[in-house]
Amino acid sequence: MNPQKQPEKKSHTLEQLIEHSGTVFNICLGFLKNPWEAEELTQDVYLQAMRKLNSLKREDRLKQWLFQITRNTCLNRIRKERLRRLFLFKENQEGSEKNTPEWQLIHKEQYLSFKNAVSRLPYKKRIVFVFREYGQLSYQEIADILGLKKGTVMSRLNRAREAVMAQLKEENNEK
Amino acid sequence: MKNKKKEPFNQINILIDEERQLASQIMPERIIQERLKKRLEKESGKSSYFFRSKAKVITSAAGIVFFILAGVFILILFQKTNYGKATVSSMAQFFEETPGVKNLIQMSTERSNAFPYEPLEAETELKSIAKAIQDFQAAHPLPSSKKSDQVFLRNPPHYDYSQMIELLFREKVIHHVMHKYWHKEKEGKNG
Repeated sequence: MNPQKQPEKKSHTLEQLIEHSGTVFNICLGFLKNPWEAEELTQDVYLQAMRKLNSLKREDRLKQWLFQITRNTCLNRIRKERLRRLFLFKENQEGSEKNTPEWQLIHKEQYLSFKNAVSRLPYKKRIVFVFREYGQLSYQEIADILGLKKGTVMSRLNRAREAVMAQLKEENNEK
Repeated sequence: MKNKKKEPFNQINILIDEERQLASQIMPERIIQERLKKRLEKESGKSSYFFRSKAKVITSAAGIVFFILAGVFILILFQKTNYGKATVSSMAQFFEETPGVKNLIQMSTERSNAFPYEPLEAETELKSIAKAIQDFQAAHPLPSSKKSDQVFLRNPPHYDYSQMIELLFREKVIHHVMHKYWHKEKEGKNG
């Protein structure tokens, strides 16, 4: 390949990747439940992608590759956050979120229960749940990204939904 | 039946839709993309800048190391020069300040001018000294114990008569020279 054409190709690939920024943002939102953090994480995902672009072997799997990076970046962030909370003995940082009038609407009891229910899901179920419900990816796409069978994805998603619903019901009964 | 099964999950879908809509109001996709492009441009510019800055740092680091080494080298040179100077000057000061040294130097110079090399007849004297020492040793033998033999693997230094003789000989020669000098001085003064 002509090395002079490589930067052009790189920028073209980046353009293609940016087209999926909405989906990446939604997936990040599903993991973090905060649009500002989700935006920040989306940028992190794309920076990672830009740095690793040379390691991309199959361009036909560009989308899957991007979502794999998204998954890894999100999980890393969650793990870091958990560790930080563990060592700093901090609860969820509700106070640090920007409370715009729009976002305050979402801080309803039901939503908070839902947020807790999703965050309590085990990683495997949570990834499938977020990819499907927030990223709105097809079962096959999720299966390709996670290297699973389509049936496994479906069953995990179902179990994740059931777990979330059970949690919601439990919290409603408690109240 | 299928609808019944899906019904409980509607609540989840409603919540997620609501959340997504609100998030898209706060952070529209257009803004996300714009910011993202800016950040990527900035970072891609940074990456080239990164290598340039690294190169600068490396160059400047090499420069600093070079200057430090050069400084150390100059310092060592300067110290060496100073050391030599200091030694010479301190020696000169010592000779200037010590009473009698000047005289001694003068004496030595004068002696070497006045009396060219003369073989001294010190051999017989030397022999007599050596004999005296041997006699002294015979008269006062050192206690020879096994312990001392074990302790000293070789004879202690006071057994080294040859060195003692040499020292005495040197002393004798100096004495001889000085004696002759003073004798001459006396003669000169007297007339």
